[in-house]
Amino acid sequence: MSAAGGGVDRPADSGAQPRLPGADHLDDVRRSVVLETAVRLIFHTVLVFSVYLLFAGHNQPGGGFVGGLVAGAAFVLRYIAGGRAALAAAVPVDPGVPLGGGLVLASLTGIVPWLFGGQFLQSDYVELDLPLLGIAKLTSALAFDSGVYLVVVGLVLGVLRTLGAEAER
Amino acid sequence: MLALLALHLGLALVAPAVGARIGRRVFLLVALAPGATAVWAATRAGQVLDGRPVTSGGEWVPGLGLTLDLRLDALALLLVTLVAGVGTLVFLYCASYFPPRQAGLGRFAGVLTGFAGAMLGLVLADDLILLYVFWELTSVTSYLLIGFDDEQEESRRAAQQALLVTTLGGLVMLVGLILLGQAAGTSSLSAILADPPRGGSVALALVLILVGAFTKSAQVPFHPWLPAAMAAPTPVSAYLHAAAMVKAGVYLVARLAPAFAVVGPWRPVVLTVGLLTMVIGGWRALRQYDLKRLLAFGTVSQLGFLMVLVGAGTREAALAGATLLLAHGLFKATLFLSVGIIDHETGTRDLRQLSGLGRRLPVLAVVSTLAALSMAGVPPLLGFISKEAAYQAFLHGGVADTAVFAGLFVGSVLTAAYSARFVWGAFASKPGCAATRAHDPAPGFVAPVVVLGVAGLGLGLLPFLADPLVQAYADSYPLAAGEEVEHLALWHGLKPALGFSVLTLLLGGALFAAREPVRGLQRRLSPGLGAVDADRSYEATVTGVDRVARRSTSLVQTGSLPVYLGMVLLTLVLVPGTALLSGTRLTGDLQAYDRPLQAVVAVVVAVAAIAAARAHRRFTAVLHLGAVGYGVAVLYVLQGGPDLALTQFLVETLALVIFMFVLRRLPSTFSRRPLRLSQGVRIVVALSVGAFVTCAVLVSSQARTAAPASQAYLDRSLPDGGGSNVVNVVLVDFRGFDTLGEITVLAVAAMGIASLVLAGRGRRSKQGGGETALTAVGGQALDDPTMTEQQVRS
Repeated sequence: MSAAGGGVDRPADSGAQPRLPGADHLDDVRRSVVLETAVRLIFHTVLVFSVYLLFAGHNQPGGGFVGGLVAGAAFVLRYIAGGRAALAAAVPVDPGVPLGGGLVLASLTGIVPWLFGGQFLQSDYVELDLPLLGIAKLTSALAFDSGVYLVVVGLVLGVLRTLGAEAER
Repeated sequence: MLALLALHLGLALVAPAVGARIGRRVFLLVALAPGATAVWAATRAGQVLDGRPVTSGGEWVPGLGLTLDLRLDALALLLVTLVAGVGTLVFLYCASYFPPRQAGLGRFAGVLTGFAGAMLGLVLADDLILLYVFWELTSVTSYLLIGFDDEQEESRRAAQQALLVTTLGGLVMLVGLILLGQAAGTSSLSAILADPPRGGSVALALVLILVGAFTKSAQVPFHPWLPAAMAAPTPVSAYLHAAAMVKAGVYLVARLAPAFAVVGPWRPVVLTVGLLTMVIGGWRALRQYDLKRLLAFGTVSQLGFLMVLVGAGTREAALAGATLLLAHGLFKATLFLSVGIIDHETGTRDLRQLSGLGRRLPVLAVVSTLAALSMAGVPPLLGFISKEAAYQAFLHGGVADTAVFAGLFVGSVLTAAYSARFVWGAFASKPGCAATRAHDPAPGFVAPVVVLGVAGLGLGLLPFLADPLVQAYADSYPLAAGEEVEHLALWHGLKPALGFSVLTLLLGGALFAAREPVRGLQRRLSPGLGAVDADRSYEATVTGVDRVARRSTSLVQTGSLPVYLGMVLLTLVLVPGTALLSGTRLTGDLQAYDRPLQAVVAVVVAVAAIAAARAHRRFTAVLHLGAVGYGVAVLYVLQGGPDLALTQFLVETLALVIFMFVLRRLPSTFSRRPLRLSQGVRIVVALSVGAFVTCAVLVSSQARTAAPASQAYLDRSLPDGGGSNVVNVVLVDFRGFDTLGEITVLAVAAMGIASLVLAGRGRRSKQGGGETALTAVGGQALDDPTMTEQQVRS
C-alpha cells in the first residue's frame, strides 16, 4: 500500500514494455515492478474467485456481497499498482453502470415473480444436468445476488475513482 | 362519473403535446372535457332534483378504507353547473385570448383542464379523504396557473402566496377531516351528514375544517392571496377566482352546514368571518384603480357574503346562498372576461386611463353593465333576487340576526358602490381623458361573455328556471312547522326587504358619487389600518419562518464533524441510556468467555482500541483501528460465523484502503488540543458511549422472550430457499426486500461520495483549500463499514 505513495522499487529497465496495462502513465519513480507483476498474476484469479464466491454463496460461505467485496479488492490492487489509468484500462465503464445495472437486476428479480402470479421477490430453482459440471442447482436468488454483487463492485469502483482521483491530484 | 374525471385527466395529459402543434386552438379540444361534463349533468338533472342522487363507487386503497365514491346531489349539481358550464365558456374564450402561438400554451391548457377535473372531483367526492385529495390538487394546479408568467417576479410571488396559504389551510383541514371521520366512524361524507356525530372533538374538527375553507375562499385574514393572484392570465382569474376554486370553501361550508351549523362554535365563527370579509373586501375594492384588482376585492367581499348565507344554517339563508352562488358565478365571470377583453384590446386595465369605451365597444359595455347591475343587486337580475332573499332571511329574527343583517346591509352598500365604480371606470367618458383606442374584439372572443351576461338576466327575468336547482339544496333543511316553501321571485310584494334593497342602491350610488371625499377618508385611515394589514402579516410570517430556519440551521448545522458526532452519541447515551437504566436489571449468570482464546483476542482488540485513541499520528491510529476490526473478525471465526468473518475481513481491508486515500490529503498528525476541557468532554462522551453499548448488549442478549427466529430459518432454508447457507438465503430470499433496500442505500452512498468530492473540487478551485470537503468525505468513508456490517447482520 505504501508503495502507491512512495514507489519502493525503481524499475531496472524503465521504458520497457508495460507490465500492467495503463500503468505506463505513472512516473517511473512511482512504479513498482514487484507490485505490477504480482497484480498482473493474481488479478484474474481474484476475480474468478469472487465469481466462485457469488455462485457458491447459496450453499457455502460467500454470496453476492462478499463476492463483490473480493472483486472490489482486485480493482483496488489494480489501482494501487497502476493508478487511475490502469483501473480505467481494467474497467472501461463508468461506475454508475454496475451500480445502476445491479439495482435494475435485483429489482427485476423482485418484479418478475409478479408476472407469474407470485409474490414480490419470491424465489424458485431448477436443477440442471450440465455436461462436465454434473448436476447444478440454479436458483432465481442467484440473479438477485448478482445484482448485489454488481452494486458492491460499483460502489468500490466509484470510491476508487472519486476518492483515489481526488487524492492523486 | 369516473369516466368524466378520466376524460379531464386524459385531455390534460395530451394537451401539452397537441398545444405545441396547433397553438391556442388546443383550448377548443380541451373544452370537450367541461362541455361533456355539462351535458352529462344536464341529462342527470331531472333525477337529482327529484331527490335521487347519482352515485358511483370504486375501490382505491381497500386496506385503508379509501374509496372513490362519487355522488351527484343537488348541491353538487349546482357546483357542477358552474364548474363545467362557466368552464366551457372560459375555455372557448381562451382560444381567442392568447396570442396564436404563445410558448407554454399547451402546458397551460393541460393544467387548466387538470384543474377543471380536480374541481369536478372535489364537488363530487363523497369521501373525506378523496375530497381532501382533490382539494389539494386544485391548490397545486392553481399555483401553476397563477405562476404561468413565470418570468415575472410578481407572478411567482403571487403563486407562492396562494400555494402557501391554501395548503396551510388544507393541512389544518386534513386534521379536521380525520378527526371528523374518527368521531363518525366512517369517512363517507353522505353517511356523516345523515347521522352527524356530536361531541367536543367534533367541534374542534369543524373549526379546523373551517380554517381550510376560509383560506380557500379567501376569507379574512387569509384574503390577500386572492387579489395578488390577479397576476394570472385573465381567464384563470375568471375561472378560478370567480366561478370555481374560491367556491370550494363555500361549497364545503354549504355541504356541512345542514348537519353541523348547530354545533357550538360554527355560527359565531362563520358569521363573524364572513361579515368581516364582506365589509373589508368591499371597502378595499372602492379604492382600486386596476379593474382586475377591483373585481378581486369585490370577489373577496362576495365570498364573505356567500359564507354568511350558506353557513347560517337556516333554510331561507341557504336558498339565498345557493342563488347567490349561481348569480355570482355568472356575473363575476362575465366581468372578469370583459376586463380581459378590455385589457386585450386597449393594453391597459387602469381605470384612470380608460375613457369612452362605452361608445367604442357597445356590446361589451351592455353585457358588462348587466353583470355589474346584477352584482349591485338591481332588478330584474339574478343578483337582485339573491340579495332580496338574503335580506329576507335575516330580517325577522332576534338580535343576532339583526346584527348579521346590519353587516350584510353595509357590505351590500359597498358592493353597489364598487359596481358603479367598475362600470364608470371601464366604460364612461371621463373629462380630461382622451378616448382610449381599442381594437375590435373577434366575435368568438365576445360570445362567451355575452352568453354569461345574458344568462344572469334571463334567470333573473325567469326565476322559475333556477328555482328547482336552488330549492333542491334548500331541501336539505327541513321545513319548520307552518313554514311555507319560499320560491324565487322578482316580486315578493311590499316587504321591508324591498325597502332595504332600494335603500342599499341609493346609499351605494351616493357613496360612488362622493368618491373623492371617500378616497380622502380612506387615505387618512390607511396608516392606522396598515398596522393590521393582512398582506403585511403574511410577509412578516414568511420572512419570520425564513429567519427562524436560518438561525436554527446555523445553530445546529455548525459544519463541525466532532460536534455532529458528539450530538449523535450523546443522544444515544441519554435517550435509550436513560430507558436502560430505569427499566432493566442484569441477572447474575454471565459467562466471561466460551473458550480462553476469545479472551486473548478480546484483550488484543481492547489494547488496539486504546492505542488508536492515544495515537498521535493519523496513520498509526488508522492501523490500530484496522487491528480492532480484524480482531472482531477473528472473534466471529471463533464463534463459528464464517460468512460474517469473511465480510468483516474484506470490509476492514477496503476501509483501510479508503482511509489511505483520505490520509494522503490530511496532515500526518492530529492537531494538538490546547483546551483540556474539549479533551475532557471527548473522554467522558467516549466512555459513556462505551459503557452504554456494553450494558445494552448484555441486557438485550438476556431480554429474549420469544423463541429465536433462527431455528425457523434453519429449517426452511433448504426446502424453501434452495440453499444450505442460511445466512445467504436469509439475505437474498427470506429478507430479500431488506437487502434490496440496503443495496439502494449503497448506490446512494456511492453517488453521495462522488458528489461530495465534486463539490469539494469546485470550492477548492475558488478558495484554494478543500479541507472541509475532504473531512466530510472522510466521514462518509467512515460510514461505509458500518453500513456494510449492518447488511451482514440482517
